[in-house]
Formats: sequence, C-alpha cells, structure tokens
Amino acid sequence: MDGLDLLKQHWNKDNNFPKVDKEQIKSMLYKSSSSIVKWIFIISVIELALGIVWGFVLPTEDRVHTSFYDIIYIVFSVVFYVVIGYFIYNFFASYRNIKNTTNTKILLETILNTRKHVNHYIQFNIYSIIFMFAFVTIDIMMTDLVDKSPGNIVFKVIFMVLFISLFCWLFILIVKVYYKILYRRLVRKLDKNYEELVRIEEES
Amino acid sequence: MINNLETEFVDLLEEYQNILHKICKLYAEDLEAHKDLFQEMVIQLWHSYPKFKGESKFSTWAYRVSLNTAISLYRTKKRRIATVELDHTLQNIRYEEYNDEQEEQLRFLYTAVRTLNDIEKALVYMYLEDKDYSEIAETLGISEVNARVKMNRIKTKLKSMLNQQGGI
Repeated sequence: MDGLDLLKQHWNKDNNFPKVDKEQIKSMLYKSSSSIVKWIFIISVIELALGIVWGFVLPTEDRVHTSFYDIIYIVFSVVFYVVIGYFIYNFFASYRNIKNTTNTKILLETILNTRKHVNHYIQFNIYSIIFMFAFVTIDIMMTDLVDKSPGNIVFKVIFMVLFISLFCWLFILIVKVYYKILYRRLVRKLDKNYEELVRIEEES
Repeated sequence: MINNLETEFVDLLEEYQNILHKICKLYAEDLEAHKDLFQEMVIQLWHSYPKFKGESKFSTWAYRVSLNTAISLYRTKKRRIATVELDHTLQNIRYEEYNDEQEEQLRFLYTAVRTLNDIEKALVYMYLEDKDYSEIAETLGISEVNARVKMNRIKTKLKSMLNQQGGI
C-alpha cells in the first residue's frame, strides 16, 4: 500500500482530538492576532510615518540661498509630497485587498504587493535624501567658492565629492542591513511559499 | 447582533474544530505550536466570519481560511504568545507516541509529512481529506493538471523518504 494511502486510512478515522469547549473558543476570539500581515502593517505604517516626519525634522538653514536653490527646493517639495501621497494611497488600497478567503496564491500576491509599495516608498525616500544632501552640498559650494583660488576650488570639489559618496554609501549600507534583519525575516516564509506555487506552475 | 453572530460562530466552530486540529497536526511541530496555530486560525476565521455569506459550506470555508492562515499568515514564534489555556484539553493529542508496528509506520509518515514545505503539506492535507483536484487547484491558485503532477511527486518523495528509513 502506498505510504500516503496508509496515512489516509488512518486520517479518516482519526477524530480523536479532545474537544476545545465553547468558553475556550469564545475567549480566543478577542485575543490579539499575531499574524505576519499585522506585523507588516505595523512596520509599514511606522516606515511611512518616518518618511513624512524626516521632511519636518531636518534642520532649517539660516544661510543665504541662490535663487536656483529656492526654485529646485519648491519643485522638489511638491513632487516629494505628491509621490508620498501616491505611495500611501497604494499601500492602504492593497492592504484592504488582503483577504484570507481568496486562494493562497492571490493571498500571497496581495500581501507581498502591499509590502512592495512600502519598499518602493523607502527607495524613493533614500533617493530623495541623497538628492537633497547632494543638492544642498552643491549649493553651499556654489555660494562659498566664489572668489576662491582655482587650487582651493579643486581641493574643495574633490573633498565634497568624496564626502557625498561616503555619506551615500554609508546610508545605503545601513538601510540594507536594516532590511536584511527585519524585512527578510518577516516575509521570508511568504516569499518561499509564493515561489513554490510559481515553481509548481512552471515545472509541471 | 454581535452576540448572535458570536454564538452562531462559536457553535459552528465547536462542531467543526477537527478541521483546525487536523491542519495543526500537519503544520505544528509540538503542542505549543499547535495551540498557537489553533488560536490564530480561530482569530482569522472570526475576523472574516461577518463576510461569510454561506456561498459554500462552513467546513469548506473554514478549511480554506485555516490553510491560508498556516501557509501565509501564521508566524512561527520563538517566544510563545499568550494563548488560551488548553493544556488539559490538548494534552492527549499524540505527536510522537505510537506503539505497535503499524503505528510506528504512521509515526514515520507523520514525521515525513512534517518535513515537507507548507504548500506540499496543503496538498497532502487536501488529498487526505479526499478533496478533488479541481478544488485543490482552486484553493491554492494553481492549475488542476499541475496540482495532480505535484501530488504525484509528493507521493514519490514520501515513498522514497520512507524507504530510506526502512519504514514501509
């Protein structure tokens, strides 16, 4: 007899589970869920909030700006908040689509898609921070380097380029480590199961 | 209204709780995990119960949500969450206690099934529950042909695992 058929024989007869009574079921209903989706939601909302907050907590500068700076800053701010609004809308729209009654593949897809919106949002924030940092640095150089000797200018430009590169590299490294620790652990199971379903469709 | 819904749900779940226990038996590695997963399934079922309009049987709906919970939502914990006290109730569930030869074979089989991945376990569960391949395919979101092919591969895999152990 096939191994699984032996198990099937036993399985059908195996109703020997002790009963969980009504009172126990009732008290379970209002326990807090510990599902992956709940954690993804909490972490995502914190990340979305941080993305908005960083724009407000950055120190304001008292120095004199070039008019070029003012124009770019206004355009950047408008684009930044419009894009953030778009990401937040997408996140909540796809979060609402997560339904544990759909088929497993769709359920996994919607959960992973919800998280993907947050990933794109974070990438956008990283590029925004790098852009603003580089932009402010260049603006400072443009205002400060006027009336400086050519040797001095070359030295400062090289110094600034190295400084910006180091800052970007460190920043991306920190974000990558954060993702490895937190995000990968959180969605590893979902990724694995989704890939298995895709593999079944491809291999057969 | 909520009380009526709650009573109705609790009554149904009490009657069909073996569906959850059986899924737990395949996915949970020990009693603690069984309790955690059982509770998470109850919570997930309760959350989506107001939208259950009876298009399918309660049992069909319950096993789908419970399987989805085991595959997609349940997070294996290192530290245990606060679960409702079920120790007395569940202590008789057998995970490793088998006696005679056939029970020993069954122990091998359960151990082998628990080594499968989450999707393979879902296929095994539905196969053991005698679900037809169209339902298995629909539940997982794959084609019927592929569900059949995968099931055959799982059978072969289990057979070779058991042969290696000298089980059956």
